[in-house]
Amino acid sequence: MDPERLYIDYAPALYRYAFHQCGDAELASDIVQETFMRLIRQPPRDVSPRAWLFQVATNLAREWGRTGTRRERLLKIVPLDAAHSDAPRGPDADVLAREEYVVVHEALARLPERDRTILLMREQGFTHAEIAAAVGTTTKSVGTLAARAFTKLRTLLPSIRPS
Amino acid sequence: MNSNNVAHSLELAMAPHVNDGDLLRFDDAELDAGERARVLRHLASCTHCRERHDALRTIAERVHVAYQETFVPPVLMTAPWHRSAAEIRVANFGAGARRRQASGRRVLVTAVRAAAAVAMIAAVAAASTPVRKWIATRHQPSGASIHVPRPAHVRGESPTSLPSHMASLSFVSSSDVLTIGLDARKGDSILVHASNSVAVRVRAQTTGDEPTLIAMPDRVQLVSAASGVTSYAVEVSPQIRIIEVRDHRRVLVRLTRDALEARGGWQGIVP
Repeated sequence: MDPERLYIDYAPALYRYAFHQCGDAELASDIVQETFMRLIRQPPRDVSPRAWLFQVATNLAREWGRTGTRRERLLKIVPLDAAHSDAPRGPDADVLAREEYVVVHEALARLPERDRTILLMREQGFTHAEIAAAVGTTTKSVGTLAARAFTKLRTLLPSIRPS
Repeated sequence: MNSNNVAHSLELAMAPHVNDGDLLRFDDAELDAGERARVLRHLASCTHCRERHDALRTIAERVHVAYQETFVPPVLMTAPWHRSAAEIRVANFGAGARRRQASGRRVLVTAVRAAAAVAMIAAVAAASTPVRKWIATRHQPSGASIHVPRPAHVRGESPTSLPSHMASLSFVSSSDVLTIGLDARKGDSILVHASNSVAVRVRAQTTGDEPTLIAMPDRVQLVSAASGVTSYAVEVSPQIRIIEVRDHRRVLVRLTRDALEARGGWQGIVP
C-alpha cells in the first residue's frame, strides 16, 4: 500500500464524495485529510484500500451528522465554490450549469442517508457487492435500492429552485 | 405471419416487464450473461420498459454530471503529511469553528476564526520554516505602465494538473475582509480553503514561473509574468470591502473596494 499513490488516485474523488455527503466544502476537506491521516496511522488490512477510504469518509460524515445540524446545512448551503467545469462555456451556459448543479446537489441532500450513499458510491464506480457491504444489504438488492433512490430524486427535483 | 413469428410474439406478450432494479443492474453490468440477454431482448420490443429505462438513465446522467462538476479545492493536491503544521491546524480549527457556528454565533466565530487562522499562520511561519521573501509593490517595474486588464478567461485545466512547484496562496475571509497570505515554500500546499459563505470562489489553472498578483473589485488573480496565464482567480463577493495581502508576518498591502474601483485595480509583482 502506497499512501502517496492512494492520495493521488483518490483524494479528489473522496472530496467529491464527502462534499455531496455533508454539503460543506470545508468539512469535506477535513474529512479527506482525516481519512488519509487514519490511513497512515492504521493502514487497512485484508480490505481494498479504496473501499476502506470511502467507508472511513462515510463514517466521518455520519459522525458529524449526529450534531443534528447536518441536514440543515445540507439544505441551506449553496455551494458557492462547488460547481466547476474545465470546459469553457458562455455566461448563459455557465448560469444554467450552475443552477442544475445546485438543484441536483440539493435533491441529493434531501435523500435519506442510505439512498444518498448508494447513489454516490455507484457514481464513484463501486460494484454492487461493495455498495452492499457498505450499507448492509444484499448485492442483488442494491439495484432495486438505487433505482428507488433515483425515483425519489426525480420527484424531488421539480420542487427545488436554485437560490 | 408464420408460426415462428407468432410464437415469438406470444413469448414477448407473456414476458414480464423488466423491473427498475434489473434495469439499473443492466446498466451497471451486474447481470450475468443470461439475464443480460433477457433484458436486451425485452427492451428491443417493449416501449414501456424502454421509456422507464431512458428515464432512469436521464436522472443518473444528471447526477453524474453534477458529481463530476464538483470543484476540488487545490489544497487537496498536496497530501496532509506534506502540508505544514500551520495549514493542518487551520483546517482543524475550521472544524471546531463549524460546531460553534451551529450554536448560532456564526458571524462572530467566522471573524475569530479568520483572525486566529492568520495569527496561527504568522506564528508558525515565524517560528519554523523560513519563508521566502515576497515583495509586493503597487506598481510594475519602473518604466512600465500600470495596466490591469480584466481577465477574459479564468477557466482552465483541472486543478489536478496543478504543478507542485507552484507558489502558494492562502485566502481567509471574515465578513468583510479577504486576507491573502503569500507563501513560496516549494512543494507546500496550495490553498487554505476560504470562507464557506461569503467570500470567494476559487479557480485554478496551471502556471509556470513567477507570478503577478492582480486585485480587482470582483476578483483576485495570480498571473504568470512570462506567459500571462492565470494560475489562480478568486472571485471576491460584494460583501468583501477590504483585501489584504500578507507575507505571514505583516500586511504588505491593504486595499479597499472603493480604492480598487476608483483605480481600476491593483497589481503587485512577486519576484
